[in-house]
Amino acid sequence: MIDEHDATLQRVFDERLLGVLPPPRVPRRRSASRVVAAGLAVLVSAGGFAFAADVNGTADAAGLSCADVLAKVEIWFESVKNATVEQQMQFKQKAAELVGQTCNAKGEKVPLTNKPVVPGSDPMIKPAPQMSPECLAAQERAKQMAVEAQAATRAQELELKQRINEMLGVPCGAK
Amino acid sequence: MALVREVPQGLTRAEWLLACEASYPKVYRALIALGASPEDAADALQDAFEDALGEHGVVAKPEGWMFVVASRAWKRHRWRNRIFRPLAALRHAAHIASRDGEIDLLVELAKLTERQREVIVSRYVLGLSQAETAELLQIAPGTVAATAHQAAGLLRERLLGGTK
Repeated sequence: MIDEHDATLQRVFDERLLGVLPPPRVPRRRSASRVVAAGLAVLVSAGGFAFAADVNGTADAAGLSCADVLAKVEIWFESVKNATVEQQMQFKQKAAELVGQTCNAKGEKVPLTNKPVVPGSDPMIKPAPQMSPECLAAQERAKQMAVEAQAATRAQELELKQRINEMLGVPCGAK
Repeated sequence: MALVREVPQGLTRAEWLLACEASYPKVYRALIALGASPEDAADALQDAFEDALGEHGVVAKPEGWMFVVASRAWKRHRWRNRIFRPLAALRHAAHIASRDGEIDLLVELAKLTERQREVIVSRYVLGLSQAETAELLQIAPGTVAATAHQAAGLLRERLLGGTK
């Protein structure tokens, strides 16, 4: 096989690429796209944890009667956790409204404010549940577990929530 | 690239890294000739250097090895650059617009197919032989010869008006 090499073309390459001077070799620069991607990842993670903290706080304030609402919120969150930041923020707002409208600070379910209330009819307020000692103990254990799992990953956090829901389900009679 | 690694040269680690360092300007020009912007070429070369630190210096042509690793890194990141830095190509064009001969060559190289460009750059920028190019790009030597002949003919016609 003849190793054909065009000397004229070689000279063209040598002459015309002479001006292409490499920059001094330095450690990798952080490109804008990498910074944006890292920032987005931090925002999404922080948003997720902040949202979880909000939901947990609301759950603590609202008591066990709202466990079913929180379960719904969690399932709902699963569907939007990979969505855009804007969609997650929108979801967070809606979820906070839902929990806030459904449960008051005493852990009582209250009717949604946009529901018409017929004068003279019984309001849809359920009496505050009487918590059994087992339920209170389970709730304490759940709080302790939540405190211990501060540094847990998202998957571990979800698993913990499921375990807590199961743990509270029987003694507290949550649906 | 596997074939290239089968030709040990017995370079020590220090010699290997020195050879990689020495090939920097040549491989940088090769990446620019392939179509990379100066920033992308520098980034891709940095990737190649990081890989070079983990190598044992048993390749026949360090510049060939660097070129293949860097060009793969550049190709991998091309799609991301198209999304995040859509104006990079314009900046690249502005950067080289002041040098007529250079831009003519790069424009004509860009008109070739990717395979033709790789072969021509390996032969005329890196200075590899047909056999070395075939090993590097993992294609048959006959294909290298035919591709180089065809692409060189096109470049000659467009840059030199068909003279040899």
